[in-house]
Amino acid sequence: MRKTTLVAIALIGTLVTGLYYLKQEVQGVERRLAAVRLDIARDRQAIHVLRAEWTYLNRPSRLARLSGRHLKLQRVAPEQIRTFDELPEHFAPTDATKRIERSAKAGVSR
Amino acid sequence: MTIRLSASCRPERPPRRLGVRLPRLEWFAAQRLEYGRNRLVVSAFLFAIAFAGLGVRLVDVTLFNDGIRQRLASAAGTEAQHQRAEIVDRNGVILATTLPTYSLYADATAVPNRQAAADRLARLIPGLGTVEIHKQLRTSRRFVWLRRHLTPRQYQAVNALGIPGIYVRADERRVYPHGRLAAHIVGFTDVDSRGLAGIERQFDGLLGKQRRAVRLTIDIRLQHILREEMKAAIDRYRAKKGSALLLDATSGEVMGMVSLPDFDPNHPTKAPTGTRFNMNTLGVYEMGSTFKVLNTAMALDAGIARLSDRFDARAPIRIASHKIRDYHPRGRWLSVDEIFVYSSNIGSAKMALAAGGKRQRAFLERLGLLTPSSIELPEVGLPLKPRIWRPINTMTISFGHGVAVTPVQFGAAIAATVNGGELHAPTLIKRADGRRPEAKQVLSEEISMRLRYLMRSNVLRGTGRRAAVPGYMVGGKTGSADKSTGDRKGLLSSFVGAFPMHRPRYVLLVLLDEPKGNKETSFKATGGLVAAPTFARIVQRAAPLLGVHPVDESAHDRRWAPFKPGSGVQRVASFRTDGKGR
Repeated sequence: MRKTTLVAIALIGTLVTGLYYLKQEVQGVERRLAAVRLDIARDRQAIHVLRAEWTYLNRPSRLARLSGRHLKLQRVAPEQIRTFDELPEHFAPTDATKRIERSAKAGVSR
Repeated sequence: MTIRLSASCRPERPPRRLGVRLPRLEWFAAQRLEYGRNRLVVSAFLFAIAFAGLGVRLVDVTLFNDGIRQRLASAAGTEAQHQRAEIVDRNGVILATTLPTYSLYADATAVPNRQAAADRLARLIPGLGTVEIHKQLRTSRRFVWLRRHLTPRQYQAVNALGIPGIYVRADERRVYPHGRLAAHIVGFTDVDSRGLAGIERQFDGLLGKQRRAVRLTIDIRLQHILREEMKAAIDRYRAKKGSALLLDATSGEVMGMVSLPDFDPNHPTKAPTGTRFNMNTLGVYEMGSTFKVLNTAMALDAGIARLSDRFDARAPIRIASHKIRDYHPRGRWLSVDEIFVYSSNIGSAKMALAAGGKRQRAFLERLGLLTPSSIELPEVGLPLKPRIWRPINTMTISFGHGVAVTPVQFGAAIAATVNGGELHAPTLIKRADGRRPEAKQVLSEEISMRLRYLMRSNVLRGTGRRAAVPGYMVGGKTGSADKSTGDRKGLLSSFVGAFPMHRPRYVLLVLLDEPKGNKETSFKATGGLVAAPTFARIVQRAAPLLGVHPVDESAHDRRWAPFKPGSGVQRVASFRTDGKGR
């Protein structure tokens, strides 16, 4: 009778301590989880705002202004766009190259 | 066994139990014990139920129920709060989004020194006066807005003041990063993010409910090209207004549309009057000679004429008090293709008369020009048409006077004339890939082919020469509608066309309201002189973006007959979009 009581008390003690630490741990993890979730939400919001800013900075008018200032690029003329088939296989002037040259000249003088 | 509940109803004699008659005293004692035992049993039973309940709940919470954790987590505010959905262009570029801001409000009853508070706040927030704030605070209401959407700096400053009763709360605000570029399409909202115009209004409910962005058919880069070129044209020709509309002829998708002057949707209340007006969908205009595309289509469709048939265009027509004249009179009989290329009003009127008003009306109806367009915007104009369709109306409508339509529905009708005869309702909403909106066959492929030939001829040899862009096979028709009323004179100059004409993919409509000529145009401001060059500039910039490949035009044009009055019929037949004639 005594023995069983002692065993029971010891058991209860261990369980209570175990449970206490477990609970403590769970609470800690849960706090961290909440913090991480909050971070995620904040980052999401920040990404959202940054995307809007990125779009704002990529306004076509702004890009045109910047490219005009920093790049020496001109508008593509239709004559500059060719298909692979139109490219000459050899450098000897073929009918295709002559045609391209002719149309390029026409484009320049236009 | 009976339980006596009160002493007052005690029986005269103790009852017999187990066959033994108990003495009176013992009987009372036994009765008391019985009460006690019963009470114990009942309360033990109740406790047992309660503990069993707790046990079940314990198992439930620890083993089966993880819902509670989610509830705890969401109570901690980690779930993103719901915001109004974004609006994006066809490539996913943001056109409208919602950003978090802070708004200033007051509990007027809690502010100790109202005048001092008003003074200090007014110094921090420009545009908000002391008097104004003080008036708000004097209302003694528990909640008054002082200023919506503070800047982050103002938010910091107000917080630092720490005046009791003056508070800041999280708010959100609709922002349009591209500003004016798509203002008429996207529209705008009020301070509480309720849609007031454009897509914002049309899809207000949907934007408020769903998380997924609403995807439009427009391309912001094309919007930029259209706007820049139209602005340049308006400045160059000192026009009052202008609009441009680019349609995908094969699907009815609006690739871009601008209407100038425009406004900044970020500050809609500051928009000058008239700038919120979307010419493309809300404005109705008598289109002028560009209507001859439809008139010719109608004549061919009705079967009353072939391209080679001639009409008497020797003398102006006098009807009632009107006189129908040609701007470039030829003084002879003209074939149907000549009437188109030389833009003869007299010839067009005669053609329309030959077909009759009934047919004309039915034809315009079929092309959706007499009913409002179904485009997904709240700002849609109602076409104007004669109440009674007299012969005079039939004649003037043939060259674009007497019926006023919106550019967007006109563009869709023109698309049908060049794309093989399919009428697509113009749309702004990008469908899921592979899903094509329904189209209606309104013309035969044969007739569409002939119209392509005519429109190409007009650019090669007619009034539309300035719209040509080498390599892109432009075809189209000029228009200069006379909008003179009383002593005010003015033109609505336009060009409508498609490219590349051997397989039309895009339709572009350019409108300039009351342009003035300059030295370059010999001080004239007709569609061929002001709208056609603008059209060409837009095509030159937009075509590479649209993936239209430049071609050797002469090789393609050889398939068309060189334009010879009245001879197009046979030669043009080799030119088809369905590839059958190749």
